[in-house]
Amino acid sequence: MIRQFSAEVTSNVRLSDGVFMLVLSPMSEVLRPCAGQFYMVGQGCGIPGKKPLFDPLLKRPFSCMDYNDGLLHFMIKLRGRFTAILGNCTPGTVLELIGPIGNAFPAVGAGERLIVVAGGIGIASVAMLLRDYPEATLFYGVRSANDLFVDQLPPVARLHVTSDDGSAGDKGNVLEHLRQYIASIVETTEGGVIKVYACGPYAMTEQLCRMFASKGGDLCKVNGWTVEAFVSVEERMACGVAACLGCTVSTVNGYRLVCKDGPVFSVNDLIPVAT
Amino acid sequence: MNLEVSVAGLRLKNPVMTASGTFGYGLEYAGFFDLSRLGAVVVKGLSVNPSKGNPPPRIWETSCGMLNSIGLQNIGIPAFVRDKLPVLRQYDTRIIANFFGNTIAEFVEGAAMLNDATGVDALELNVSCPNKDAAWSAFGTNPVVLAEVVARVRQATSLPLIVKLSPNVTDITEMARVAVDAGADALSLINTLTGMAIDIESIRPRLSNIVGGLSGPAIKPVALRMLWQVHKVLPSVPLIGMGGIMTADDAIEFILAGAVAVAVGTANFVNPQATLHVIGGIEQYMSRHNIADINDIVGGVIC
Ligand SMILES: Cc1cc2nc3c(=O)[nH]c(=O)nc-3n(C[C@H](O)[C@H](O)[C@H](O)COP(=O)(O)OP(=O)(O)OC[C@H]3O[C@@H](n4cnc5c(N)ncnc54)[C@H](O)[C@@H]3O)c2cc1C
Ligand SMILES: Cc1cc2nc3c(=O)[nH]c(=O)nc-3n(C[C@H](O)[C@H](O)[C@H](O)COP(=O)(O)O)c2cc1C
Ligand code: FES
Repeated sequence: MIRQFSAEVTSNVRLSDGVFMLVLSPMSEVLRPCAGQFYMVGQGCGIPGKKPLFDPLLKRPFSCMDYNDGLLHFMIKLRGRFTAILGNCTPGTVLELIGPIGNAFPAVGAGERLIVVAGGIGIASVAMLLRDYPEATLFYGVRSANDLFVDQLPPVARLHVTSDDGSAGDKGNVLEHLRQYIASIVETTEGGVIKVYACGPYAMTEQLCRMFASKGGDLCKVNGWTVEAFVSVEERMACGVAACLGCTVSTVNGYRLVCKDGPVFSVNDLIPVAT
Repeated sequence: MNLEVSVAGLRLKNPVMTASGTFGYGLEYAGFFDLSRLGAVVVKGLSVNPSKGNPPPRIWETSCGMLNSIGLQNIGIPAFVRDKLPVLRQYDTRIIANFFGNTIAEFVEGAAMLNDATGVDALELNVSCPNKDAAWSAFGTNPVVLAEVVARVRQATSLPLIVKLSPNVTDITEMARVAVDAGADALSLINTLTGMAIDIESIRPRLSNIVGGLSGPAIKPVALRMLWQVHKVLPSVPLIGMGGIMTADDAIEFILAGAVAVAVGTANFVNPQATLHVIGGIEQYMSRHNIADINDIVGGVIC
């Protein structure tokens, strides 16, 4: 069940010029989030004795990057007004949250291989998978070494880093490297199921659909292997609880709500809009 | 202390309701607090047939407000009556069905269907969505069309009929008068103000629908002024005030301007328990000012 609660900032650390790690301690009992779920985070208007703040107005969605010792971890990229406020929050600041929200990544079956794919700050939405599935392979694409935060992740069994400028890992597009990796698996080993769970910029979602959709995807079925890909998508949100109907995405089943039916969708369902 | 009010013969345990489209079908918020605390739940705008609404993106935040172009997406009256209403009815609150049609015949059909449903306490006629096309907007902006749709719906229902007015008109008092003359028992105002935002990097509108409805604290002064104007010319017509109500102080301003009840909209997104804070704050205000009955201060602003 989704809950509304206050949480205190216990630490806020800059990881780079544009990214910070915000750790919150919930002030009441909360539910354990699952990998892929997120929270609406706001300045706290419902906190008794605190003057309500209405600008920025709406709460913002952020994935839970990690949950341990009862603390919620968020890795956040500076974008606009609210992320700037969060970036400056000092320990002791009280924020208001709603969550955990959303459908989470589906469970990986026994015998299935999991490949986690992250593009930039998308790592925040998939990082919990690495705790749930220590055997998973991670493909982590960044612009440059500055955007790479491997030290913030749980231990990873197999890590493939790519960067646009070659300053970290292999140079090039993370999905091209993923393609080669899958090609090598399907050539050398007996068939089975590969699950690809991903989050990244919109262009990456689009490309994942082209690669793995059962209709038209060139890599969804090869050599007795089936690749099932799921991506976490973003849309602007007002409520986070399926009340405003604002966070729609186009799917083969019509409009669906990212906050209720998502944020994780099968690439078979999404209809990417050309950018 | 009495918080009970009456809107068009409908008794509410307190004057605080939810604004249509900002509280889903009510049940989305049932996990956050006991809906029985509310004066009334006003549900998302319903139509005879389900409607899929506008393409994304549908939301853009503005300074102290938000634009939306949802486009009246809804599950349709039959699904509402079958799946939502029986659950919603379990709560000890009033249920007000906001509804619309694409033609006058559809408005009438919708009113008749809701009239026959068990558990609907009143109807709120939505003629004021800014996300529909120009022809549809005539329902809320052309006095002749407004008179016709209200009169026809009036004949189709015996439930209290609330007409929700559009602020996107030159003279709101004229529209208010027309609606009341055609049979409205009460008026709610305001719906969102038509607005727009442009991404200057992509040089494209922020909303796929280009324009959307502005709501939230940014519109409160406009809403308050319109409510006060309507109350002045129609002092005996029950008015439900809304537009940017975030706190009890905001709600009391509307009551002082002439609202017998208020609706909390965008604030629900910011804080799912906003309505409870508004109710609690009204009680505190009343005890602080020795007000025994909320009805005593309706329209009480001294000008
Ligand atoms: C399910 C989900 C999970 C997310 N997880 C993370 C995360 O873990 N870390 C992280 O850094 N970011 C995450 N984001 C993106 C994050 O919500 C936006 O970066 C943030 O809302 C920007 O707010 P702002 O006020 O700084 O930016 P502004 O540009 O000033 O925001 C203006 C408006 O646009 C909305 N908005 C802007 N960018 C986005 C976006 N990409 N997605 C949704 N709404 C947006 C804002 O909420 C706000 O209403 C997530 C988004 C979603 C939908
Ligand atoms: C996302 C959203 C959806 C809305 N949907 C409806 C609707 O279906 N029918 C209606 O009459 N008004 C609708 N409204 C208008 C609100 O009921 C209310 O009149 C308006 O938002 C002003 O109040 P507020 O500033 O407190 O939100 C909607 C508003 C928002 C923000
Ligand atoms: S954010 Fe309101 S419906 Fe999804």
